[in-house]
Amino acid sequence: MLTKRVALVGKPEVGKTTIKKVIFEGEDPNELVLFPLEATIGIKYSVHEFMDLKISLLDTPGQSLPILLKDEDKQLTTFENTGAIIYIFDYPTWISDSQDIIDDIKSLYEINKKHKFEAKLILFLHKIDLLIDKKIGSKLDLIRKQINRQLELPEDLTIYFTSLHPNLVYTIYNAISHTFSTFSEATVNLEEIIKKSMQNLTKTICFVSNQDRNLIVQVSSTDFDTSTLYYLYERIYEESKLSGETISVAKFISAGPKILYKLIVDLSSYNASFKNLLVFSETLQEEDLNNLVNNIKKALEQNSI
Amino acid sequence: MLKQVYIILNDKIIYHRSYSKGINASLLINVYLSIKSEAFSSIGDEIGIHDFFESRILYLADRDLNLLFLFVLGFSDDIETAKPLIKRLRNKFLDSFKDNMANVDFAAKNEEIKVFVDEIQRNFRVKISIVGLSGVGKTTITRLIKSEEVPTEHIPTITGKVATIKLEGVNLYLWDFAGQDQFDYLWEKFMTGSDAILLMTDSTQSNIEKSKNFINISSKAVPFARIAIIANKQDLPHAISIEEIENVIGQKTYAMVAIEPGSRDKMIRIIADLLDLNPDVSPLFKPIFERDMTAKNAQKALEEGNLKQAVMDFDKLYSLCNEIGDESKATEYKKKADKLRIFTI
Repeated sequence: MLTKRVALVGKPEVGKTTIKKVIFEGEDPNELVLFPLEATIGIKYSVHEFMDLKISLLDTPGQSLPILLKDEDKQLTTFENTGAIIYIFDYPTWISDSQDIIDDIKSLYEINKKHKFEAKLILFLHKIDLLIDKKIGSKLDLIRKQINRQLELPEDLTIYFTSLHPNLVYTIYNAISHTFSTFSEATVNLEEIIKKSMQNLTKTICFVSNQDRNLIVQVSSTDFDTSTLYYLYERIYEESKLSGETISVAKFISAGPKILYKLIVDLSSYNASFKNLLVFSETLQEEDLNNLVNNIKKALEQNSI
Repeated sequence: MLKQVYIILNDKIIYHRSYSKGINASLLINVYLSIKSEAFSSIGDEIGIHDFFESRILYLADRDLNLLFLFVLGFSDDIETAKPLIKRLRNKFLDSFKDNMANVDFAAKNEEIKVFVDEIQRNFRVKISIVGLSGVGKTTITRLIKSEEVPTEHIPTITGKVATIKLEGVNLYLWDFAGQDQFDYLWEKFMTGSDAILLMTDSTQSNIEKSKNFINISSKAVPFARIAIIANKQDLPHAISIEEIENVIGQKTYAMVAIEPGSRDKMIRIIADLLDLNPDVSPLFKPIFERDMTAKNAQKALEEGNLKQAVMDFDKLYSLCNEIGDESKATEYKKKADKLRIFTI
């Protein structure tokens, strides 16, 4: 089994250990919100299985972040051979002190480049339940653009919006699943196949879910309206809570301001790690969606031969 | 704002009142069970605070009686003001029921408890600040809400005025500020403690651009307050569209023509929508309640593949949203209805 190291970093009390406990140790998020954990002292190591991977998770103490960002030896011990560095920050701090957060992220980016760790730098904007907005989809989209604009880095960083609020807890599972799946060879291949098949399509997005009903692959056409993503995740998560049959019944899904055509197909016969292929489009109707799915299936068959 | 009040006796909710969306009863019982041991411990204060996602819970425990009072508040509320009020609730409650608590049928006593809970809620002055540049129509709308005569001449407001909207059990205090540029430095001070900010614009290009500054001020002064844009003077020929304003300023925008008579009710509904006020707080909110129910039905119909029903619901939502003054949502629903209609033929 392939092992990948993942490090959780961020300021104190942002939620690193809480996220770890909820996702990997089955703790009740409501309890942890009511009775917050004590500060983490020293790096905490743990190992977890995820699909065809072993994940070695490093939970770093928030209070030591400033030291970590300056001390080269500490950086080497923490980040050597790391596949992903997840920087977690929360919505209230983003509102009151965005420059501080931008500085943290820039430092991590430089450290990653300087030492050639070649880790993926991923951002989690946590506690979005505190952003109460009637147009939350576009709000989050705006924040995503704002962050990347302020960072001024050669490439845009991946940002996930997360929360442990009961109505939003799926955001954490999605973010983690998605991050880890980028290390799985089978998943990366599937993503390539879907990208190729979607080349000439407009306003369409494809997801692949795993056995736990978390989204592990996401490919969208460049003109897809990203402000609907937040609502889409919510709807998919709602529908996956119902029985498997109900998901396939309707041909439409309502995601925030839009109605999308939808098609859901079972992929588990191609690889036990995958469950469903979900395709949503603003414009493509049944026939085109069926063609897309058939192309993807054909390519998967060829791959396994 | 005081969102909800819960009274819990012997681990059961014996009274609850919701003025706006807070924590629903099923979740709250779990929250209660979690804070129970801390609340009833013999050490420490009898009053405590617990943050739970987007709400701040203030509780007061009576250990001997196994009784707990809960206030569900927002993050902009001042805890020091709330503490004496929760004590007052406890005192009033005990005055009425202490002697016979084991035998009281609290369901029947609901109306009686409601009277003093409402009185306490009125002490949480729900502050809604109307901000915006000079001449956009802030005072017109405030006067309209107070049902005063609407001025036809623009008489600039100096400092500010407060209008009270009296609804059942909730009083809303509308703060109208001066829009004069020279009073810039006072805005942040005036906006402090607001539960909601209404930024008014006259729907002209230059005004919209300049109004963006208020968003910056409010995120500093009241980071957790709800914000909405009121795009006034939509009746004028060159008014910028709601959609466009939403794109430029990045906040939810409602259409308004302040000088029109129906605007008073529209404005109150917008405030209710913004604060997620409970529909039974006022009969004025009936369209909001109907809208929420119909939206749920539409979703269900769509999931079940019942397209005809979904189209009917979306058409209904279009007219309900127009009634509320939520033009952009109304357009959204119309687009949805039209998209699905083709498949029902």
